[in-house]
Amino acid sequence: MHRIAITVLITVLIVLLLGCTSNVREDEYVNGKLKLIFWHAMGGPLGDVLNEMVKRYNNESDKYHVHTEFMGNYGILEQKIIASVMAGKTPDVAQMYEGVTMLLTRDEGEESLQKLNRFTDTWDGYNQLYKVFRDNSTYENGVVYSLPFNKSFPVLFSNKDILRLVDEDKEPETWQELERISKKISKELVYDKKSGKAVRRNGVNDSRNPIYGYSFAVDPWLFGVMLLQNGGKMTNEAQTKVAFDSVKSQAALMWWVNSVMDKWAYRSEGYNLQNDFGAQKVAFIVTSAVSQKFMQKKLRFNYNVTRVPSGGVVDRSVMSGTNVCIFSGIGENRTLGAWDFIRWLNSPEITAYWGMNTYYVPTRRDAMKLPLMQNHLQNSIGGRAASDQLEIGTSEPRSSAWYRCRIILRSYMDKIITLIENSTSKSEAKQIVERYLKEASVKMNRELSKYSPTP
Amino acid sequence: MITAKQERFKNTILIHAGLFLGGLLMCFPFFWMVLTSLKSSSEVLDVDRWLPQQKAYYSEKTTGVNYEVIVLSVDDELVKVRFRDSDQELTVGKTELQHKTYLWSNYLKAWNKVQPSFTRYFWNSFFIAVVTTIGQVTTSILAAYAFVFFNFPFKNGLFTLFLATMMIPQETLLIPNYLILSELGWIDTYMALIVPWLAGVFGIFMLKQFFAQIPRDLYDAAMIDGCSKTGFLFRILVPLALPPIITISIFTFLGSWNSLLWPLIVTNSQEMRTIQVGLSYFSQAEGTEWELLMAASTFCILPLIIIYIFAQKYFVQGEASSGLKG
Repeated sequence: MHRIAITVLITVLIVLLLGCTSNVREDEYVNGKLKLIFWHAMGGPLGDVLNEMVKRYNNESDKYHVHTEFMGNYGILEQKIIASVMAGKTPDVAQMYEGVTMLLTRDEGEESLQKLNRFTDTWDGYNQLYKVFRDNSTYENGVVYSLPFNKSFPVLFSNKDILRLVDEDKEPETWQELERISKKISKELVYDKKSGKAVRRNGVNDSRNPIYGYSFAVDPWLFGVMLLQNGGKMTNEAQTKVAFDSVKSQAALMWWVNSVMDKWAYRSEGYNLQNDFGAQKVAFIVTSAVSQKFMQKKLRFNYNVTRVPSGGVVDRSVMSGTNVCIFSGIGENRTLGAWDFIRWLNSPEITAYWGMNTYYVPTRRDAMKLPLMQNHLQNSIGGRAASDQLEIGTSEPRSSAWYRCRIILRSYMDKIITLIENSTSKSEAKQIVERYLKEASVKMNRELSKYSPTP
Repeated sequence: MITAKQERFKNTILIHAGLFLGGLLMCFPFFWMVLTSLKSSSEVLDVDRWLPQQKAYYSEKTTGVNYEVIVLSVDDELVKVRFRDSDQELTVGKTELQHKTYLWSNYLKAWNKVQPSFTRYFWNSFFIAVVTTIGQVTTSILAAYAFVFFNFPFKNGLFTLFLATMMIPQETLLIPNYLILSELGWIDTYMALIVPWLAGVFGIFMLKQFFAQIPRDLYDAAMIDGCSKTGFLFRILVPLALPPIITISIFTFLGSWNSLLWPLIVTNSQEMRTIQVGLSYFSQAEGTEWELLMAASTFCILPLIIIYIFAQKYFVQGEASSGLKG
């Protein structure tokens, strides 16, 4: 009797559970407007700005209502996008890195994202987008899969009060200048705990902690900038092999190695970079332009934010950040709505608003000419630090394997800096750099070869 | 000459002093968290100053830079101040100054910062953690009872299989589990947040080890006296196994309360989110709002501390018997 009852119960449960299945999301309406779902990973003050913008879109649009869904961080967003594609239950629009776009579109017949050419071909705003963004969104055979959204560049934060203490009145524009001033700062200044700021060293026997000129977090992003400025490349054309075992890449890494060995810079971990800069223990840091949004209220000294230093054989920079894509299988109505929304995000006024309030770069040329934007560029601290790099910017490799390659590279860069912190001579340090960059290259090539060649 | 009593006293003092120092060390992150939660955003960066201080700030309109000032005199609506960094003096309007000290407002700000609110997140976390804990304890008791007191085909093989699942990293199961829940139509429901965690191998393993120590004679005697199998479980076995059961409860509750990845993966709407998701709002790839994150962490951790205070005895017993720590 018991067994029969249990069997019946289990059968009923299974039938009930399977009965709940439905893979297609029906069109929903909010106040008579078609509801669109947008997945993003913008939290904190960036999320606040995005929510304000979406609220504005919903007020302005007669046809569509965008519902934002926060996914914590880029990593979780990526996992969730992949899972939702496999389950056939995607949102309408989502933020994503190029590697995810590649993953979702690389095999024929497996396309989970919509080709946007039918829209971009007739949209006059498309040619207003900076070339770096158009290239970044265009894939094999000229297919456009995305529009730019939150794009940033590395920028240099300088403590002007510390600069004044060493009789420098201008922020460094090149890596060489950064090195020269940093050496001066590290030699002449110490950190005074009582006042919480830098002061001049009181003779050679002053035992207070030194102020460093420069601090850096181990970051493949900056390594890429340095490598490109040295005239090097991150990968071959097909993005199937890295080009890190060259003299140019060794030279890029040696700059950091020398900075640590000569004691005018130190390696920092994660957010400590920003914290040390805010606590006036270091004069210069290079980090994402968007960090200014998080730091500006915390800084109680005169500071400036300028573009990433130049000084190599070519003037190049590397952008970061995600694009917005529209998923396949959401029906024509929602597709039109999704396009309307991502085009709106890239309209002159909105992209300028986004840029002014978050320090991401505006995506279009005509947005730069708006009076409000002009005022921001000319009068705000760091107003043009990122946008000054739009003409010299490029993307990191877009292969789906690049995310893992970055992890490998970061771990090897970390290993190299740790080893040279304890190494005795520069020739020994150079050998360490050569050896570990080669090792990293082998591992990264293995990852890249798993994926189809990319344009 | 030191007597044995004095020697014991000395040892006790030394042991307690060591424990006190160890305790202080363990409490340090909590002190830091609370102190940071009371600071202004700029004070957070000043790592050499432990306590939040009463400070006045003047914001220069053209540059937007906040300068710390010392108030020299107040005359109705006008305040004479001196800049802390430059010794320059200035007379400003009272409303142009911001005074900040022990910023309890960080708590209010953090509470209201997320949508819909932390109230909802608290309810979700609490509900999910309680139901998951009850479910997992129940299934663990039943499964462990079956493994120890009954014979059935493939018993040992099945138990080994159970144990083997502990070695599979949760991350690799994320997408397959998402697909199953999606097929069931459970995405963005409490079912997705609760049902997959209603059974746990750790609990089964721990209780099985405990039940295995109970003499088989006790079971036989109960059966001879006319006790049913269910009666033996609930009247005799469960009361004896209270310490491990409470330990499992605490671990399950903590695991559910602290879970971030799973709730984010299986929910979409803000109404279904949990407190850990709320905390993640303050920390981004480009920067962190430390003072708000610490304020939110303080009120999120409070229920756990209260639970720990009440269940401390069982927690320690559980640690001692399982050799595991939370």
